[in-house]
Amino acid sequence: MLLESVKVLDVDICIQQQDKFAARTRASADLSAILPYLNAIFKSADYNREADSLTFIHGIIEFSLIKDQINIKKFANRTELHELLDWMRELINDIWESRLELTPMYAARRRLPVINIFSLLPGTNCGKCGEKSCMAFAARLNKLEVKVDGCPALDMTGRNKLGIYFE
Amino acid sequence: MTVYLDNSATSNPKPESVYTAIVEYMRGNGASPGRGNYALARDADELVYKTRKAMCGILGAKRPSEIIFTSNATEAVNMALKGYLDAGDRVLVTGYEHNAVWRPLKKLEEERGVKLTLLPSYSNGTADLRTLREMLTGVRLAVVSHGSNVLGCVTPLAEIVSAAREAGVPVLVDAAQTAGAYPINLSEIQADMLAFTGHKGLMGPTGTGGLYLREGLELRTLKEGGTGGMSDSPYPPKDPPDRYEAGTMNIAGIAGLHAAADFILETGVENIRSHEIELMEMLLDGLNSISGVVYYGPRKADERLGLVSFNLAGVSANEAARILDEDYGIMVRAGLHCAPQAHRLMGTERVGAVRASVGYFNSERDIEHLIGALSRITAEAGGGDAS
Repeated sequence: MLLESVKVLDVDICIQQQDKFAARTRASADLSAILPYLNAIFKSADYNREADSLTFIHGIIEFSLIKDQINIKKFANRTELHELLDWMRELINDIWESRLELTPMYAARRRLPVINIFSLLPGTNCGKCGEKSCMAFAARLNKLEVKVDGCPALDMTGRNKLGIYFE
Repeated sequence: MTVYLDNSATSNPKPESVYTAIVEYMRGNGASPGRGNYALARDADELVYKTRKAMCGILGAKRPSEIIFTSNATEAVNMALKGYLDAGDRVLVTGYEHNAVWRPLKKLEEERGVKLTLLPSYSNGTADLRTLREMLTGVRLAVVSHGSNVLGCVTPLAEIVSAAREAGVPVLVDAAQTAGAYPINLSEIQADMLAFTGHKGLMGPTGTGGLYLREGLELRTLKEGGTGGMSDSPYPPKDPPDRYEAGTMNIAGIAGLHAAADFILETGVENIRSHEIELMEMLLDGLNSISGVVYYGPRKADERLGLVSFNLAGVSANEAARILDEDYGIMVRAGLHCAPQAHRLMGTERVGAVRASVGYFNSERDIEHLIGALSRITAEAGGGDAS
């Protein structure tokens, strides 16, 4: 087992979304070795090998990991924070146990530029996604604030191509 | 020698770890969970979370955020009924409800025009499910007592929940008499809400309990107030469990409930249940052997909870309970047990009954003492027919 426990250091209002919370926590182990495996799993991951840091998004929750720190943003309350920490601990330990069968990914993922995302969208500005234009949707998808299936008018080709980059 | 046989009212004694946990929290921590950003408050947060998680383990719930803490099962039932039911809704309800369910329902009948339909039951408490599917038509909520605190019968929960789910009717389970003492697995029996109390089968302190609320199901709040976060909003938070837990919670009680839940998980609900069945077999055999005793509910120990209600020929229930206490040191409960519906089924709504209820810490010696005492009391009263 790599990660025995995680201690919550502080909880505060999330600056990015003020009806949610953010927390800093400390893991019982240095997590640097697990980051390339998490990078391989999460398409939203942003891995910096030199800094030994990784961020990724799970649902609407943002995780940042660096050495023994796990920072979490946009959770609803302290109960959800602990649920997320349990999930993270189990995930990390499961990956650690089966790491010999997994392929780590050391390269940083390339974030698809807004204009490239836009070119795969219908371009009808139908508004069914809740945004005013397809360009606005593309910008939010680039920032991982929405999901690919948030565009109900997307055809199968666009869906498949964007699926390579986004969860 | 004193013998406590009123575990259906509240289990007594508690596991030693329960007493220790309460004192350790009060002396070693004492902070309010969710109300501060210092280590003790965060430790208190973690204690509450671990208790939710332990309750998930006992009930088979998926997420700790599905466990809402209340002060008892009564508050949990009120939260569910008053938060879910609208004017004119129809409710299907089992026929032997405790007043914790029956009174809020009658209040809603009076105030919101809620319509109550009783699931027919036989005098031994067995629910008659032959017309269940038809009875679910037009029903907005099914309210099911998992086990009667008077008859001792266990409701066929799986069958009722399955039929209700097919009919698209959510189910609220009153598990006050079963949680901790009788197996419950919400991952198999997919009830939508389940009310439990901490101080009976769960062996925790009084003043604890909770409502399991299935993820995605939202209720109107029963109370509003501080939740420790987002204080600038004039409204309760949207997400459970904070939405429903306004006000500082009974954290000393939660510390005790945590220890109790851990004790149950370590011991195993099945082992607790087996012990209680053994004691009940002995108790029912003893009652059968005494002339002038009538008892109610299922005849087999493994078909009932760890309790039995009975009457003695020539001695009223209250008098029998008084003699048992004063002359024999045996504590039982006499009367209607806050469940007049069950007494109506038994035909004892005017006279009540004596109830003896066992717990994990009772022994065969306790049962021998009770049977010996009842034999002497009935002999002195001249025997006869108690029915």
